Amino acid sequence: MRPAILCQGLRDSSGRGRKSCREAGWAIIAVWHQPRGRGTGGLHGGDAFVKKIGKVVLESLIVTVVGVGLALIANAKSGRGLDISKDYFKVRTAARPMDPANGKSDGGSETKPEPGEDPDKNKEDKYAEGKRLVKEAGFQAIEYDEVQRLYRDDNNYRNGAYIFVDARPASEYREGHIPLAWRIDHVKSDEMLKAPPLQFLLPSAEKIVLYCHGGNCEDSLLVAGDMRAAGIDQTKIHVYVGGFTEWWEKKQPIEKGDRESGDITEGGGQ
Amino acid sequence: MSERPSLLRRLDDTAIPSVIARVVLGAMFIYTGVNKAAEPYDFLKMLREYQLFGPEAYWWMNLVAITLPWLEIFCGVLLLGGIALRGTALVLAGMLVPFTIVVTLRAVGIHSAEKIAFCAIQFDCGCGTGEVNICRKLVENTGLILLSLVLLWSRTTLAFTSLSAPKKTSVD
Repeated sequence: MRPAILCQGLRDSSGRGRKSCREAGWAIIAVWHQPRGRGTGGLHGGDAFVKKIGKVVLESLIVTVVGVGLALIANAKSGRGLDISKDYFKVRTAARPMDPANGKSDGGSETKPEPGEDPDKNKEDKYAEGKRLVKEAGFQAIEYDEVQRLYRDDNNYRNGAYIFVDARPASEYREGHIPLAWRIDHVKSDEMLKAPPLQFLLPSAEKIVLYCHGGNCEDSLLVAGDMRAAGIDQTKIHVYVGGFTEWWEKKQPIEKGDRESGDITEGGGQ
Repeated sequence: MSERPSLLRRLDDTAIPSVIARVVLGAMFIYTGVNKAAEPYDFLKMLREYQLFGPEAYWWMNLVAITLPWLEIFCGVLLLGGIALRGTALVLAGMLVPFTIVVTLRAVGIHSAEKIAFCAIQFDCGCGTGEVNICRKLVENTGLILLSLVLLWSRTTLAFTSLSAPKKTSVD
């Protein structure tokens, strides 16, 4: 085989001669082509059938290796690239050992029934599984009534004592989020937590309320773990298990676009 | 005098099927690859739904999430550029066949668990096209696999100008 230029495929109607690449306006690309003469153009029967298969397999391996190489380069250059060595679905633990006495909720819900309480009560709670996961991870689950109370406390909400954090993708955040909520991307949480203003706001907040879609959505829990790993006191971190879905269903205010865009509408309801 | 070629072979000699296969496959894979590459974490979450990897093998899952979208884009560009057609077609078939199987198994699982009619099942398969109806997706993927096989089997070569003057590298 020898390399041939693409433009050799451009023949005039008589089959003789060929147009120059400049005439055809094609860029010169070096390609492999089968030698002329014998029936080598397709994967059909013949003495060289096995050889042809081998050539195609080799070609596919080269394409794969080059493609994977380009992918790794693109991932490294991309602002949204993934870290191959990171377990993105493990809730990160504290930087220092947890105090078992910590973690008491000051308004959120407990998923474990209190002594004497009917254990079947939790079965009717559609957020029971979410609450259980939050509690297992060592955080406080917070419900709608408490979230709304914090949101309506204008003074504390606007002066940074209470901070809401949206853990959903950027596109969903821009479609609508709880007004004045910040957004933290789990993929880039390490950078975002170390950059101003969150770098200063979060450690000084009294309560941090994290949310995502709600229910079994785990992004808020993952970001809670990132915050804990960054040194933020986990007793301040609350996970709103009903999430944005419930907030929207309750027809609460929704802010569209960026944070502080001022484009506030009412949620859609059921 | 040689026998008259079959209808399929004569159709192939026009280069029309291979050009159509290249354009459709190339455009499709560039489109889906770009959608996945734009949000790699979302694609990673979709991959996780299939439970193909154990919790300890997260780096395998990360590797697939990182490389698959860009490999799709690369293959799409190769097809549209007419480079390494058969090898690229084999790579795409190698991606399409197992993916189709995995999507089917997931739909079967949903059908068994939630007692929904099979063709009524809809979910985001992580294909880069959002939520899809499973039956439609299977038909689509079967079509894409067939187009890949056309490129593997075809004897006509590269240039789009082959439509007017197809170049055959075989002597019949």
